[in-house]
Amino acid sequence: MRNSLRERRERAGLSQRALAEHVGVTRQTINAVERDRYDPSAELVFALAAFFECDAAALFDPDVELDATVSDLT
Amino acid sequence: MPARLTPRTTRRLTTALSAGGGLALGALVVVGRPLVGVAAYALGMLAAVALQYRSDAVLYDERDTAISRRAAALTLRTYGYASAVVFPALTVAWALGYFDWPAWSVALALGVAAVYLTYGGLRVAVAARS
Repeated sequence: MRNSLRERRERAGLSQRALAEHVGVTRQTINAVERDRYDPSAELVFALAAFFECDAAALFDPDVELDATVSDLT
Repeated sequence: MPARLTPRTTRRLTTALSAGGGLALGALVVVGRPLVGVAAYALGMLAAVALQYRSDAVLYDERDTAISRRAAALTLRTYGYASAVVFPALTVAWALGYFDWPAWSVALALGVAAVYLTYGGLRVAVAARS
């Protein structure tokens, strides 16, 4: 899942290890998320969004393509 | 001392202690010292647990769980594909008189069957709770 985690982390002047400690995961997990090699759980997505004080959608781009949305059904 | 170790070092040490304990058990059983082997194994496992317990850092997280889940699924799939081909083929060979089941192959077949029976049972149980 594409994301702006690295940019936001570097803008905040944090190392991967420091960010990992703040959200309760390992440095390797932060690295894997930044490199788009691991899709984090919803819990971690929201923890990261809360930490950076932004919406989850601003941090992660799920790139979801649907045939329809709920608006199309109403 | 463990508090000063990095999480990665602690993880590696934990793995080394667990694997070392297991290898020591196997090696000492082979050379006829089974009780010493069990003691070495217990020591390795206790040291690994103590190392993790004394560490303040996050050593394992959701990514480790995901990796373990993926590895377990691949292991089951590998054994499943191998079993689907190998055991029926050996059964046909045995029925035609080209193969005799040595004790180890019977143990292997029963072991694989036990793994899949356990998997099937747990799958039903977990699904019922989900």
